[in-house]
Amino acid sequence: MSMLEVNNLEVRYGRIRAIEKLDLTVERGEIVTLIGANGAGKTTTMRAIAGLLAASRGSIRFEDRDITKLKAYKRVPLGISLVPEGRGIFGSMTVMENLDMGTYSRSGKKADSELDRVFELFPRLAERRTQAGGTMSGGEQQMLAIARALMARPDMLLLDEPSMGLAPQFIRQIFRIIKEINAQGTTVLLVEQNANQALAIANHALVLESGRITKTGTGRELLADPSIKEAYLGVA
Amino acid sequence: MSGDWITFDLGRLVDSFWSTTLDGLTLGAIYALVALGYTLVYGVLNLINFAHSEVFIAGAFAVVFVLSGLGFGPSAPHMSLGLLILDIALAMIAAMLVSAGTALVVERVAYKPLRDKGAPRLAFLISAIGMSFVIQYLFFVWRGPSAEPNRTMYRPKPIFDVFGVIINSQQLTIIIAAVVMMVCVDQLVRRTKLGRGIRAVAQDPDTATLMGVNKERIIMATFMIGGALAGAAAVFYVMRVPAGVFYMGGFILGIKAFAAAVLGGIGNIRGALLGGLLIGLIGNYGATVLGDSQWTDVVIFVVLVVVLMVRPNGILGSNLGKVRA
Ligand SMILES: Nc1ncnc2c1ncn2[C@@H]1O[C@H](COP(=O)(O)OP(=O)(O)OP(=O)(O)O)[C@@H](O)[C@H]1O
Ligand SMILES: [Mg+2]
Repeated sequence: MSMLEVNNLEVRYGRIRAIEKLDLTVERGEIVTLIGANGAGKTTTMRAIAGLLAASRGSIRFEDRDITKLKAYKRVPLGISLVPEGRGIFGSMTVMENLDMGTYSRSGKKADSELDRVFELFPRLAERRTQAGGTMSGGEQQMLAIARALMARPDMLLLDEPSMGLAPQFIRQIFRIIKEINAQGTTVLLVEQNANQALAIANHALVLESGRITKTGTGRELLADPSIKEAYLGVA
Repeated sequence: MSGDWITFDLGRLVDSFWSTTLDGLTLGAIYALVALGYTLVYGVLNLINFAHSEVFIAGAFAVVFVLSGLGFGPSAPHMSLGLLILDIALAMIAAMLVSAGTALVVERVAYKPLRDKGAPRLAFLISAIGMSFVIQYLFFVWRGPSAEPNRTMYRPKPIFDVFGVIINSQQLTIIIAAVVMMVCVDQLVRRTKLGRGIRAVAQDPDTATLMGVNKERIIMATFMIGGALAGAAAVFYVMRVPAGVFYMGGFILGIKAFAAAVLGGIGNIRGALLGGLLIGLIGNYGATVLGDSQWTDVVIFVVLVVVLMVRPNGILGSNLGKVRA
């Protein structure tokens, strides 16, 4: 049984069909990468898995449970956390308050060990506990968004373009941290335009074009694929 | 029309400055409690709940009915202080429940279906105004056009006399109780889990949902908190304006409370308190100087417009999402 099984998924914005006939499976412990051009439907797919968008067709199963109709806020305690495109930092809350929001769905339980873990992964956040989230730099906000998602102790972390807008050394750091989070036992579904590094760390990868999956394979296979090289890796 | 339809007499204000001020603060405390309902809902949904004035007047009707049932009439009853407090507490609980319930019905009937359909903002506005009329006319049909008879809870007694300034028991009760309630709401929003949820939804509903916040529950709670505060305000209103409980009474007070919320900075809890007290003072000073309470609203709105020209987001500006813990 796979951890996440998306079958024949279709999501619409009114009459526009943003994704259709989308199949995707993620095994426990994997890093799966989804790449695609602007407007291909990557964010739509992620939001549908997190429950922010309703499926007009198809099904989503998580840990052998049908969650297609489950409300988004109820998917968080099941172990699904999405770091949204654009990060979604609560700008006027401090770093600590943002991290606290991450524990919202499991309050009552102590979050000290999660806090230690995210401060270990992101030492800079520990120094900036009382800074307002909105005044952090883009890279720091991305770290905070990932840290906040980890506070919920997800079994599966969904990351929507975590490297967007970041400088190269920040991007390398983010990818290193994603690998580390995965090594610590969290399954990762990653959406990226930064295909090179995203494919390099992926066990499996899929290519999304105009709302449909057009290619699947291991990360390595897709890295070596000439058409992908041309379209997504900036190699002519 | 006689020549003195408006007079300007600062001397009148100088003579009665302290009593005008205290009464202004008393009215202002009531406005502030109602203003909180506008502000909380605006903070979370970016929506002016025009039916909030009717949420308030429903509570005022509840107060009158409960007091009647307990045997209160036009003149102050003879009863022990303990029993009086108990009776007022009963009236307040009833009013808070009725107003919170009304607010919840308004949200579920007028706004939720539109939200589910992703309706444009204008639709919410029309729905709000429609809901306001519906409730007004329900009271009109039920209770007729005239005000409910007075229910006097107690005769205000002077209790302090500081340098010739006399504060009476009614003013003291209303101002203290209202301020205490507002501090409680402020702390609720800043410190509790519900408050965190409210602030998160106010800032970014989708991200709040991704944190596991049940947005619909937060919205309902917000309407009910605002409603309960309006219900509490209704008790003080019946004390201070006993002849004001009729179908349009909510509209008349609501417009001032709304002005208070905007003046302080809509969506801002402390702004509602500040705006309420200022509107109470400004209205009373204006009416005293100009010689007739008919001028109260004119003065209030002139000041409001002038302030908004200087500070378009109100005095304290900002919104609920930006509240810091
Ligand atoms: N709220 C919306 N209403 C209507 N159409 C939308 C909406 N959101 C997205 N779309 C459309 O759905 C399609 C897929 O959008 P989506 O955001 O999923 O793309 P994406 O792959 O994440 O793109 P990017 O790389 O630019 O983030 C696009 O054609 C987009 O215009
Ligand atoms: Mg996207």
